[in-house]
Amino acid sequence: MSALIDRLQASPLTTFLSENAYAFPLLEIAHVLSFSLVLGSIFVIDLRLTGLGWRRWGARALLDDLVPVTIWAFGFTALSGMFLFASQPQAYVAAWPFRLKLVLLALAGANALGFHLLGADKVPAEAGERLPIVARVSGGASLLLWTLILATGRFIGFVIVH
Amino acid sequence: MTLETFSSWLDATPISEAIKASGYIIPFAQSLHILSVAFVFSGAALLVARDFGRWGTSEPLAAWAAPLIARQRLALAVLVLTGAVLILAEPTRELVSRVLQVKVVLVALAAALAVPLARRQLAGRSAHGLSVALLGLWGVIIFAGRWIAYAS
Repeated sequence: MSALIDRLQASPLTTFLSENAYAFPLLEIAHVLSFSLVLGSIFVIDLRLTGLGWRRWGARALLDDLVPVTIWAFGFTALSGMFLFASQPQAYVAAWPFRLKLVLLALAGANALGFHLLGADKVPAEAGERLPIVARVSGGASLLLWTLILATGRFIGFVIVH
Repeated sequence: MTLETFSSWLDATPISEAIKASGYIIPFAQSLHILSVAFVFSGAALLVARDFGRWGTSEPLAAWAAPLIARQRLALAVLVLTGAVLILAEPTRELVSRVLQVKVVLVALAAALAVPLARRQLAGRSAHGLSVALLGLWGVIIFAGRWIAYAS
């Protein structure tokens, strides 16, 4: 793993991303824009699953409309995030907020997969029906995890200076 | 009083000193600031997609507009409040920044544009040009927000 990071650090991609005056800022802005869509869509889903908001809406319809938005936006966020990582791979690997962010992302992914496998098909179509416990717990965990992912992402900027 | 002397005065106020001395207020305010920008921008993006009939067509435009616009208004208030905290944290860097000055003007313009757009969308009437203009404006505001750090 360490050898792979060292090879990436020495690659022309890293040289370009770290030396070009515009590459990193533009990638970071693309990352923030797509991450905004991830947060904006997933928080609606999570608020509905926990029952903290959007209660007049059927949870099934919200899932059908918003999950594709979240997945597409997450794809762009992950892609831009990989390029940001490639700008200083050794510094990112050594930074505690980045390592914590990866753990939180893995937990958020496991939470979403768990919900998909255990609870998604039990979500009722009608707005007034009570949601299964697995949906409520998964929604609450997702709210917490994505808030922490945002905060750790912000902390990376305090640890790694560009 | 020039902007430079005003920002120097603000920099020496007890509230600015307290924010700077705390290790957590700035990252906390920045995280909330990004979260509120995310709510405003994503709401605008979803409403553009719905306005053009490319997303969320299972519900009418007005049904999507009501909760998304309510969330945008709350987020805009948090955005302004956390923005003020971040300016207080570093007034000598922020207030004299041309990029920040442009960002403030654009936020005011976006807030003004949002009023007639919300009126139309809440009534179920689409407004293609206005909704795209507002989304573009929020994209530029996010761009400017990140660029402050690189321009100063």
